Amino acid sequence: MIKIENLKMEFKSELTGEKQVVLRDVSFEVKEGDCLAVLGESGSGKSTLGRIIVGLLKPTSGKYYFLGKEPYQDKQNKRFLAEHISMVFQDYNTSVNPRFTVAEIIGECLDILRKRGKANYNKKEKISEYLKVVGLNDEFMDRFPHQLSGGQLQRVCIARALAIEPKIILFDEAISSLDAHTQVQVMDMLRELREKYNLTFIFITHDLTAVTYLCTKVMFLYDGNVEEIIDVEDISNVQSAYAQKLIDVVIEM
Amino acid sequence: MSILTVKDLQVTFKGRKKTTEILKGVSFELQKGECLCIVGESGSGKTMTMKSIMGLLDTNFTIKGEAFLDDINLLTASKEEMRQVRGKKMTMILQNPMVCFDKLYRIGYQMAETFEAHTNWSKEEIYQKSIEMLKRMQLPEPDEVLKKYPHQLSGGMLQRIMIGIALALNPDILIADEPTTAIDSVTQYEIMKEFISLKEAGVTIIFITHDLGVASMISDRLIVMNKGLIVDSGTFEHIKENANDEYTKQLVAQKKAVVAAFKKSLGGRN
Amino acid sequence: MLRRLFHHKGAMITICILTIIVLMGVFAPIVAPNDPLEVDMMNRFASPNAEFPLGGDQLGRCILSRLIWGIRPTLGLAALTMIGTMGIGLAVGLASGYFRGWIDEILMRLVDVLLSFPSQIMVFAVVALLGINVANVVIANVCIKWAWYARMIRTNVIKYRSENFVNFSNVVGNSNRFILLKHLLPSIAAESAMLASLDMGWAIINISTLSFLGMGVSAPTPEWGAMLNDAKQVFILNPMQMLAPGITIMVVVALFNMLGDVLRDALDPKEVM
Repeated sequence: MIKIENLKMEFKSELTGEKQVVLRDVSFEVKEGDCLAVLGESGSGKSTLGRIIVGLLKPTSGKYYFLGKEPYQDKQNKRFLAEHISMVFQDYNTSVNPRFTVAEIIGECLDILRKRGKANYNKKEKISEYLKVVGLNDEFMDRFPHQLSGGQLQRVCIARALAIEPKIILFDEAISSLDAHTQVQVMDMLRELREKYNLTFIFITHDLTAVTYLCTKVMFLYDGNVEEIIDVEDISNVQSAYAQKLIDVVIEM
Repeated sequence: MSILTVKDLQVTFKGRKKTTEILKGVSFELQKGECLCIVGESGSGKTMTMKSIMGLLDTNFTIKGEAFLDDINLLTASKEEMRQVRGKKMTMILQNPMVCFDKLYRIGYQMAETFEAHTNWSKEEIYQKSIEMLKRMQLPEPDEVLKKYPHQLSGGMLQRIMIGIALALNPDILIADEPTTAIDSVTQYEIMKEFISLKEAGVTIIFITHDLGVASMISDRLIVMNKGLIVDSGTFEHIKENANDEYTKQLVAQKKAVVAAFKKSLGGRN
Repeated sequence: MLRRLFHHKGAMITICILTIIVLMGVFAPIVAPNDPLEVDMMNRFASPNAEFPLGGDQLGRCILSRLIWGIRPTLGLAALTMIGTMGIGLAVGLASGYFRGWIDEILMRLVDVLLSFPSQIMVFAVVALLGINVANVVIANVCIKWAWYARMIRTNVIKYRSENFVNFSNVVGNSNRFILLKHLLPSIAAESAMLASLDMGWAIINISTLSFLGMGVSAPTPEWGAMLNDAKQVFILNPMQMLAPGITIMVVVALFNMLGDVLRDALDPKEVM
């Protein structure tokens, strides 16, 4: 579904003109139905990789194929990517417009679908349906983001991501800033959603326990390089020292 | 010997339109040399408990009940007394180290500022103690670190400096409010190791967290809070096996499920 | 947003007073006790009385009536100035802040050029160039002010542009129109409205200044600045003639400044009701 070859990303400092290499040489593949975790600590380039995948950032060099098309090649391919990808962010407070109600937040996506001529439905019913999917009820429709708790707001964000009817959703640290027990609830929900809508997930995180709970594959990213890609079931056979270190620092109970 | 006693602490917040009960009667004791963990989700009142006994709440809050640190009544003490208490007897480490430092000043200057406010050390002494403290926190090249600005250091390093500052003041109680939340797992592990060595050195710690795993690493005793009440307390083992409260049971079950999934994929190798 | 505004006491009071002033201007023929242009030498420098509540000026015209009629040009021109300024400022600021790249470069260099002239002298220059005329005063003011607004709005747009809700709209391929009109414009609206109402005061003063200097509204038409100019010859003899428009300008400008302040408080989306 997604194929990335020799991806490289550099940022140039405006002040000093120094080049900062964030992604050095990243190649990997995501197959349909996968749930790939991108694991790394802060500064490993995992968020930058996420921004490239969703089409927000043009890479310095390298190939990126989404269903065989190159999104950064022309506008049509970019639009094609936008029609099939969706995203959930880490900071739920800034990822929704504070002036929108919950209904308007989800409605934005439904309106896009309508413009593309894909859907003909009752908007309100559809919003209520998506709210139900993420475990919220109709009462929330007219509330504003600041009237919701973190977990509730992140659920709204997930509902919004689903409403665009994507094939693939990218989660950028989407559960890291939630409470431990809300995290588990959201992960349980995501697992169900993945099966129900037949989705592919890319899950950017630094928490290995979340990865083993939810994902099928894991990619270890360190300092802009892919250290290792391995099935979660085989995670005990990791080869690289970095992956081993991440496993060692997991706090169990 | 109990060093901190809190009895029936009640806090209400008077908003413009309505009043909200935040704490509905919280009581606990802290022994000297003990590490007490307070576990609960956001909004359960765990941070509020600490803020109210440290006198950090403004006049919109009404506080009832009793809180004694040795023989000082924390709820009736004057502002000046509380300032003394905060620096010398209780120090607090906050959640996000990135925002606790002023971006515009060097680390060394900010440390010196804190020490000047709370001790009568000379400039030379302050410098010595700063270096000493950074060494204790295992930061490489302490004299270089002092010259750096906060953005040049990683979150983990800053958090260790925060802990170091708090410790250099030699407090009776060290309060840590979610010191590892939103920090990546490698750094989290390092910071937790730091806390464990502190605990072994006999520092009295109140540790606030929402993660049972973190709590299991460090706690002597555990308090579970939910909706402004203490719903469970005891050692970690006790709570893990015989939680009384539904909420606690749910917490434990969820954490167990996550850990089980992790262990399963590791295939019992660790 | 409007609902929130109505719940704010300070905002309501300032808005009410300003509305009354505007209405008085609109219904000047009914509200004003006398004809503002009627010269009556008998009432030269008349002290306040029943027929002339604030007395008469050097030509025996009713000061109160002139004040009320003066609302029209003063507020009207100030509003026109602000609408022009905001219109151009918003368009340029949104475009350069959102699209960045070469559009941004060109627009901002233009802004830099405009901002590097001292503003008051620019106004004089433009008016002198185009001729003394009310319309030219407005054009001159808009010319020097829009650049400043464009810069402010651009900075704000850049701040919101990198917010995740805009990112999301981009990811799912929503139109630029939606992002500009539904996300960015409302986000910067509160702050811009605040700036605009603060600057409404500036515009009033500026128009009055130009009229005072004889470059704005010309002679018989009642305008506050021009009234001050008339009064300055005789202000020891008849202080009321100067105090009345002076204080009016002060109060109205203060009201707009206050409006700016309360708007900011009232329009903050996180303000809990």
